[in-house]
Amino acid sequence: MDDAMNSPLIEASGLTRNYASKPGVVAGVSDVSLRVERGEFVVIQGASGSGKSTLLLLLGALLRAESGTLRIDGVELTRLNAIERAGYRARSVGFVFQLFHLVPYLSVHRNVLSGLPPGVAVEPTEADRWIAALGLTERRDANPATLSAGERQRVALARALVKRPPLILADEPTGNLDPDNAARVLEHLDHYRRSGGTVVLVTHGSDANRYATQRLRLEAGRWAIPSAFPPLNDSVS
Amino acid sequence: MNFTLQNILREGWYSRLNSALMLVALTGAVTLLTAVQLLTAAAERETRRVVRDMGFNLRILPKDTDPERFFLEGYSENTLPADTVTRLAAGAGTFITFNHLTPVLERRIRVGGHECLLTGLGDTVVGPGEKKQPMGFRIAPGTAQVGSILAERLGVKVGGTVEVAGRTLRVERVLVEAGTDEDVRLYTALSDAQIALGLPGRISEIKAIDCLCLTADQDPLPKIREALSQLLPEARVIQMRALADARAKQRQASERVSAFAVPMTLLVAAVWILVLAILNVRQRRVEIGLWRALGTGSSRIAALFLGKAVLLGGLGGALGWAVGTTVALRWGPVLFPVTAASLKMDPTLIVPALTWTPLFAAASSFLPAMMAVSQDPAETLRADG
Repeated sequence: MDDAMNSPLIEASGLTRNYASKPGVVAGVSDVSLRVERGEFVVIQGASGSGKSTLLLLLGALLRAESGTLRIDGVELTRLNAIERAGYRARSVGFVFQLFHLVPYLSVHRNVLSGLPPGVAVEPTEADRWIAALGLTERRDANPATLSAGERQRVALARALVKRPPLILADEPTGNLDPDNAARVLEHLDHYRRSGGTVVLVTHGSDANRYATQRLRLEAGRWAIPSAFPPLNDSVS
Repeated sequence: MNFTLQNILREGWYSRLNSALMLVALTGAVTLLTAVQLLTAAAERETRRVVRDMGFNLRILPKDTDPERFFLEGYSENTLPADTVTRLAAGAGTFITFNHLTPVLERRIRVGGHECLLTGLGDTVVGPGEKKQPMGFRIAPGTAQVGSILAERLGVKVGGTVEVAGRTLRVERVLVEAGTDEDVRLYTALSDAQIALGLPGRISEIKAIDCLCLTADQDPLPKIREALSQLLPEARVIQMRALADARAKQRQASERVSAFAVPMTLLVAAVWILVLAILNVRQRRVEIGLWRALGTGSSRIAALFLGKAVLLGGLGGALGWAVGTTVALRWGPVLFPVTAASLKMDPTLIVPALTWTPLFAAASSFLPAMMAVSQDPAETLRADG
């Protein structure tokens, strides 16, 4: 158990995933390796089409690598079947998307509850605790359509956090937010990281740099600078 | 309440237009099927009644009847014992082939100086357990019904009398002009005709209706003759083909209408539901991707779509049965005035409506549900790159 807790949360080696498109095969990511320790806040930057979302979806087991190995929290994802990958996502990953992706017909409270794995019982107050922590108590029973962009992203964040996953994967989480709301969301992610969680965030901006313990840059599906796996450092800016 | 069921109900309310259109399709289909079922049964009854009123289409004659003489005179000059009709009725399987067995004695006679056709009619025998009214006329002994031309020639009216072979019969009815030999007929009870003609206990034929109900391309006559040769070897049968064909065609027409309406209704409803379910899946692509990202399994995602179809199917089945029954009861009597009274609600139809409609809706939504399950969440969830 201690060995597992001391081992890196993410170890990826030679990950490749291409896409078929009209002009031909387009590289998503190509021969990408990555090592993320527990408690890190990894910021992956890159231009549109650089492969950063593809990498995030690979880490979330929503995409399958064509080659390479990917071990997260002791589980080799490339060997899992579809059902096992769904189970991994349900247990171990919280997603935060740029476009929030809230379920439009569920209230704030029910959207947060939807983040719990099927069949997993939590204290009934757990969802409300996260709703309060993210400043959404007044909007608990509101429909997502009535929320501001910042509120929606905080609901998405609460949904990701309610099951206390070891890993949060955030795809441009501040891309649709004003600076104040963007800062608020990043603060929450950093707070989660400080309480023991791990965050991998992809962005083409620089808002998250001050929270990063590791910064990487993708260009055309490869690391711009070969990954050096810098040591954990709370004060990277 | 189950989380999936809650989500189905919430999504159903959120996508009100889509849900309402699916419900309309299902309700419409069940309405049509219920109405068609009730009205087809009504059409069948109406057809039977109308065709029955067209008259007998089988004439069972003594075997030694000369066909030439029969067609020239319009009746058989030979006779059978009057109890032949009861023997035929008692035969095994008689009422599979024949119905409305009516003993008849016919002869050409002179009444009041005018030649006419005397037709003595006995009581009609119907199949066991049948409540059908006897065909034609039931004529009480001592009374007569007179064809229109004969009545005019004799100068008789209802309540008057006619002299037949020295017997006085009271005119109970003067028939409306038929445009057939009925206009020169004098109908009496069989017993009166037997006395008048000096043929006690005899009949010249048994009139009947063919009830084999074969299709248009099938000729029932060989089967009828085969049945009669076993039941009544001393008789022969003549089929009045035009009447028999009219009866068969009328029945088949109503069967063809249902044979067309039922599958067409199902097809239209299935396509409608399929299109709506596909639109629903397309509309919910991001939501499906999100459920995937949250680790929801394929069976739960499929259940969201199939469950919605099943719920709407149950609701549509119940509504469709109610509306279809109302439609049939409201407009059925206009379409089928002769048998209007027999059009009634059929509560047994609610059972197939409530079981088959959800299954039908689920089957129509199966393909879209599989589309939802097999959708790649990465395509809908990625921001870019």
